[in-house]
Amino acid sequence: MLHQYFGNYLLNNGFISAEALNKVLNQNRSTRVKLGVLAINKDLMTSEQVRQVHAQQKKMDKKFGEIAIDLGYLSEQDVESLLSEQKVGAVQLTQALLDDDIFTLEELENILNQYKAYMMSEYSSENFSNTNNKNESTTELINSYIKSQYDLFGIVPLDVVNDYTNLFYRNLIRFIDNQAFLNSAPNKNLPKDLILVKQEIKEDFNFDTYIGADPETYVKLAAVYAKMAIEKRDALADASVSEYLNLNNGLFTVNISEENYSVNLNPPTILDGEDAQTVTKDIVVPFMTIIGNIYLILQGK
Amino acid sequence: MSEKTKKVLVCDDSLLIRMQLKDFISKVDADIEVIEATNGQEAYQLFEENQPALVFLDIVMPELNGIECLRKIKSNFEDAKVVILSSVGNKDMLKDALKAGAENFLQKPWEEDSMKKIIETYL
Repeated sequence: MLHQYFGNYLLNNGFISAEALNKVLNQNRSTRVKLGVLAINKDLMTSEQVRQVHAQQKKMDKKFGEIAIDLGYLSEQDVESLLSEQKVGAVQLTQALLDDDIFTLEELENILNQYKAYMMSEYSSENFSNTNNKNESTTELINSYIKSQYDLFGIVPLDVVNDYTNLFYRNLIRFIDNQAFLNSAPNKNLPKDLILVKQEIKEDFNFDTYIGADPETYVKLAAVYAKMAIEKRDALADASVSEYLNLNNGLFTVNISEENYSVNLNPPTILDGEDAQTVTKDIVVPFMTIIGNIYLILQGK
Repeated sequence: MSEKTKKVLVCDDSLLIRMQLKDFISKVDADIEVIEATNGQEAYQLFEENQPALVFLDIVMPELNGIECLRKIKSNFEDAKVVILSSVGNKDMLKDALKAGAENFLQKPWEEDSMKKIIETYL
């Protein structure tokens, strides 16, 4: 999963100017990603091996994949898998940067390695050490929990709902409590004094997302996320919980864009009292954390 | 107390983000005055009045969103330096922001090193 688009990474780290990146991104062209770029991106080949295959291609009438198999760099299965990814938008920027001679193959390999290391660092640091097995089983639990409620949800595909919910869980671990877990206990009654923050996800997929908690947990959630002493529900507490949901949903927009879908967000809003109780709750996922139960609620459209 | 000589406009509908950013900017350079706006409309008005050296602009906001505000600022103040600071950091947003003339695009939660580098570059 991603938490930063490659273009943003290049720009933020000074690998490319805003002007040059703008030119690459806004060219109207259909970029066909070459197998060598995909292989480097997937860590299946080095830039040197790709160069060797290219050199062989000049001497014989054979495809990249065939030569890479002959040289023992790729298996047939690898080639099939890479061919199926050729149309996915995720690596199109990488190919465009090469086509425009902004980077050489070696430079790009080096930058991609740094980018991947950076991607790994955020979600695999101390928060996730020694808990990988636990996280894998939690993913399975979450997916089966979602499936049991999915019928009510509407037309958003099940795997998108699963991805969304698992991202929400990973962000709970990352930002709120590294021991958080799915609370699948039979008592699923929501608190009577529930406070909800709502944010609408729109465009290719349309659904409403809510994060909810009882008032005490809500204030603690605000304080933990803001890393500030927040002791009562006030404008800052509301801003903190809203921003937390906004951050989660922003990361979802980045992830989903890697699969060539486009989603956008509306600004978050707060609901409490009767407004919170009467919200249609198609999917309710309770997570137990050190500060109390935090509910993810999804409503299809 | 002497008047601060440099101005930064921070536009975000989140009180938390405005507080965190204001705090961070003043730690990087105590001589920066931070002006706050909560939506794109207000940001444009404050830009006109103050002509800040740098603007941090969120995208998802009520009234005028960040991209529309950026276009409005750049069409009237070509040399304005605007950095997008948004949770929606996907390809389409980056493309729109750069096309509209953004100098950079930081995704929330921002990294302190990147933010510091930007402040030091433009102020």
